[in-house]
Amino acid sequence: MFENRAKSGSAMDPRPRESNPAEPASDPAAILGLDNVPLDLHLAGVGTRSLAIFFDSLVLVALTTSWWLLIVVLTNFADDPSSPWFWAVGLLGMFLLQWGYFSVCEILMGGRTPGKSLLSIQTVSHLGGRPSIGAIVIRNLLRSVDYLFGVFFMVIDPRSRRLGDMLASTLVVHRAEPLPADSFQLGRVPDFWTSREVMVVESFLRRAVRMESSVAQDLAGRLVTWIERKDPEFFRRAEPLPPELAEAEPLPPRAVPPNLHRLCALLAVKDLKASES
Amino acid sequence: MRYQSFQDLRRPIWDRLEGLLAEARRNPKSLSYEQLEEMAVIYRQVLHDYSLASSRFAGTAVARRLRHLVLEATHFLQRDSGARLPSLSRFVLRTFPHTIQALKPALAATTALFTVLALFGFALAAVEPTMGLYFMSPAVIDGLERGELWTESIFAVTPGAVASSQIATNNLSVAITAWAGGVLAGLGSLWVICVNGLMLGSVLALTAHYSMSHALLEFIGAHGPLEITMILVSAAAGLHMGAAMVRATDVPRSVALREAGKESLVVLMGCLPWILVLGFVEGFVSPSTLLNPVTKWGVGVLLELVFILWCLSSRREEIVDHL
Repeated sequence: MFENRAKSGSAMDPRPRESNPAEPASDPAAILGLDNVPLDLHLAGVGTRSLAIFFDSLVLVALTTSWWLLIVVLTNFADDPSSPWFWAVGLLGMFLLQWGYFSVCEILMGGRTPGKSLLSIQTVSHLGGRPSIGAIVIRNLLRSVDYLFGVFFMVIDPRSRRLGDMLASTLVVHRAEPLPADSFQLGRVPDFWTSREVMVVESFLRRAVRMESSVAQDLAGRLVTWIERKDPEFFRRAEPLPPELAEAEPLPPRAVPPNLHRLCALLAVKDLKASES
Repeated sequence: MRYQSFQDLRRPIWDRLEGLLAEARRNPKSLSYEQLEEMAVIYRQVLHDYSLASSRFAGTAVARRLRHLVLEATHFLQRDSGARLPSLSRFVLRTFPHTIQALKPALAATTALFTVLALFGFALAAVEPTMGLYFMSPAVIDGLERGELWTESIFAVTPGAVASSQIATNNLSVAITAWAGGVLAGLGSLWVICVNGLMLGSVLALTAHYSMSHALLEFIGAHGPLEITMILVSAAAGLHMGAAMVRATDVPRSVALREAGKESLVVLMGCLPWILVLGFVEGFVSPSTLLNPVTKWGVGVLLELVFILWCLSSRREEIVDHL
């Protein structure tokens, strides 16, 4: 079973990708959290990160233009419009924008910049937590060097780190996606099931309400028969219908076929109603 | 453990952590000390549940729920030390002086290299004045032949305020580049030191060749000493990072790099305000015709002394291994 699971997450395999704590030490990209528990953080690659920098550069250009426009507008309101101090302040502001934009954004937005937010990536510490202010400043001041060498280091590093990330001990990862609304759990599981059967049935239930009604009815019926045949005791102990589903009656006949109702009752699925909505 | 019993047994703990996290997201300060302590304890339990679920029940709804819960809780609870800015007084009175004293070897190396290359550049340009063309434009050399220093023409057309801002931002960029270049195994920092040392030496020799060195020395008197020091210190901080990258020690390289990065950032942050001050000195004091050369050099020496005294203001205690 483990061998099969190790291959999950490939392009042809619809099963979700999960880390396997049985082999953390051999994987140089493994991110170990507290007590050396491997965290299944999805690292952002060169492409995503480059795109984020592109979006941030657009924001930076917009900010710089706005800054100079503001300076020009302010000179019009001043007693002495030709005062050199406006240009002195303008130059200093531009310097601060150029060197401080990324750091300030990441400090204020919890490891994200507008570009990173757009692509749902964020900077985290090497333990998956929030990076310190010092680490954020280090990784962003080193951008001047990373514009030249960063891509090379990101390509060869198993954790896609550039030099700034190595010095600051940070990682850029995809944000943990919020759980889908239909992420219900099975309340009852037959004894003979392994995680694989659980996964397949959960996957079926997630898709069932969007399936052709007759197909869902047929598959649900076969699953109920299979459980009845393999574990009659489990089948007998099942409650007729959970109250939540009972309250939902009358359901549109095509939305939830009767066999699907029976399967849900058998496995004590509680959130099917939510998934339908 | 079976899937169902695992769920039945552990679900209350997961629900509790989810509840605490939701509350923390709404308002982190609303959590009491006891709640935070409880959260830390539950987090550790959930982390182990997640470990079990991702190996035994991979791909199931429980494993997905735990992954999401653990990643969110990790991001909330696991923070690097120094998540807050250090107090300014502590930075000024202890952190900066102690850190720069720890960088003595790197500082000695950059100073020695800079001195050697400045002397080398001086000797080369004294023997062969055309070498100045590598660092100065023909227009500047034409001006020297006429007895005019290039700084005069710059400050004649650029107001002092704009010039100081330009100089300050340029010097800040040089300092940051000298520091950041250290990440390339120290080579970037060494490059900045070499170029600046050679340039200073050869420019001094070239102005001496045209009997203009007194004008140049008068101009650089107020800002030059500390400006050179700033370049040396920034490059030394960069070299400190480069050394951590190259040198093999008892600690893992990732840890050594992290520590060196922190220390070198402290030094750079201590230098940046001085560079801003120097921009104003170079924009207003250095080109001033009202101040005599002695006053300008007095300002330069005073600034340098204040910086050195700051560096030595608090002695760093050496950790002595008595074993």
